[in-house]
Amino acid sequence: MTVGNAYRGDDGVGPYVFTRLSETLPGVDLVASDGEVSGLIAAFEGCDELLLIDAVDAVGAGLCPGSVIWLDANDPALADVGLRASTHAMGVAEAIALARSLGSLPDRFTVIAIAGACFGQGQGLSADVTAAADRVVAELSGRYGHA
Amino acid sequence: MTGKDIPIRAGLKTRRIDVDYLARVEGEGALMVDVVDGELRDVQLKIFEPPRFFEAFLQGRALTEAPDITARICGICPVAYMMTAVHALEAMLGIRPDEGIRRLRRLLYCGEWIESHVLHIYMLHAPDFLGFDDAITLAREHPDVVKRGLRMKKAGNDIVKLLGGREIHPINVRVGGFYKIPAVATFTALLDELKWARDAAAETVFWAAGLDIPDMHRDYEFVALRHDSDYPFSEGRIVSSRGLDVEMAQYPNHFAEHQVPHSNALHSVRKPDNTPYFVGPMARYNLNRDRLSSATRKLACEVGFDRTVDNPFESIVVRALEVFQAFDEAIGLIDNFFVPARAAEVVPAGGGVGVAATEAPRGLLFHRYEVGEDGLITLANIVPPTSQNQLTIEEDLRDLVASNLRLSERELTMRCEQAIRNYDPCISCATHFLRLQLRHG
Repeated sequence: MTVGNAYRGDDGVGPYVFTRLSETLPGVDLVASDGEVSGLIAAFEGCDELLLIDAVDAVGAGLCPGSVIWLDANDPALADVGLRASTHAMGVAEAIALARSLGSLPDRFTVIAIAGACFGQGQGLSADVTAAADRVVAELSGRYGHA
Repeated sequence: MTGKDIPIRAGLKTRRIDVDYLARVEGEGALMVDVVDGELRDVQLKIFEPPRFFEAFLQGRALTEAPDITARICGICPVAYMMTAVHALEAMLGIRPDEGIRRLRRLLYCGEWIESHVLHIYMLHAPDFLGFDDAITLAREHPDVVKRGLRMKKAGNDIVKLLGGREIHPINVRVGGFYKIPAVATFTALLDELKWARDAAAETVFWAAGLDIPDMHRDYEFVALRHDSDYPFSEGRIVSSRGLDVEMAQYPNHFAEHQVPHSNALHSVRKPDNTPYFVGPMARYNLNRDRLSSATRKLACEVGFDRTVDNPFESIVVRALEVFQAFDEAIGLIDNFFVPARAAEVVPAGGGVGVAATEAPRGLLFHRYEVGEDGLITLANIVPPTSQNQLTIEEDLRDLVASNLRLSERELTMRCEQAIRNYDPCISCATHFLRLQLRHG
């Protein structure tokens, strides 16, 4: 599953990876999401294994642009987020927290977070993020290419 | 926490509630309540989200761009903004789409009401009634309830996605109709899930009616659209519970917007006495109960809601009834699908003044455009439901605080927030947490 908006700079890394994996992993179920919470949770249902690729804000996460972090969404050490915020701000973290409360997280669920630097309006990824996305595509294609 | 000092005369006891950032609402707002010597002195619902200048953005743009620009005002109710622009400009240009387009527009509205109402009922408002901080903690104790809400919301999303092109900020709406009409089979493919969701909506009504609902009654002036035959979405006259009954174009003669120092959103009042009024599900319901489907009316009777609702805390039940109504109507529209003669009418050249009001999930939404003969917008005025309800929300809080001063700091704050959420205010686009300061003089 990829998440992101192709019209907001590095947030388009999810759609970029989706397009690339569509070419390299024709036999794997791929889902593109805009991050809407009920759609995400519905997509989580019934998955044995899920990999979710999304951009994160490098500055907010304290990472260099182009860094890639692999997270186990079932790791109890991951802090739960609250859902007290505006619904406009709900996203992947809230969906994972809600699915965890509902007991509907896939058993194997990896979040692949790619650190981006530019989330302004417009299409196109920054060079660091493109390189990181290509590394992720290569890794996943190698891992699941013969699935 | 603002921590402002309050001037206090010697011997007076002062209590101040400051909720710096309202949570589980759309956007950036705050609440301030001052109580001096046991008497309520002031209540302010502060909206400090910066002005967004959409009316200015529209100036100089082609009238055909208005739906897509105004859709960006809200990620929860973009359909209402798009459709109000469409209706205003079609009225100006004399465009009258056929019955097939009219029905598809109603279907699109059904989808948006479902998305918005279900989100509010289950994710934002239910935790107040059940004593949880948020929907995540609610989900731990009541997973089946939250799962039901999420699945219902997705059913609404699917309608908007099919007809609008995507769930949020649809792209298939245009002046004159739609860019493309999906195949009939794609609508009928939704029916099984919509029928499940209608049953779930009935369960939601019973569940909501069984919540522990605070008792509070006020004498409101309810304002909503009223149509000749249908529960109102985007057609009809503007009516009120105190006898107003006017065409949409007369809106500016009966309602005014004022700026107040503590809010970046304008306050709307009724002319000529500058009195507050109430828009939204309860207003629609009270003024249009006879326009509900027979199934919705029957359901309302079963939960004791075949009456005027003047307790704002009961809005959660009214929203649930409107969700049922929306699923019921959506199923009927698809079961009796009426294929439009064409996807859109031709948009003729020309300008003038276009006015429309529609029923956004949160209430009456008014648009007015002035357009030059070159088809470019020269002036736009948009009055969203939340600005119309602001004064009423403050009045509710005055009554609520005055009659609940015995409550603890935490209880009173929670009750005030719950009261604000009765209106599902859409301040727009932000995330914050709650801090409280209670001052004793």
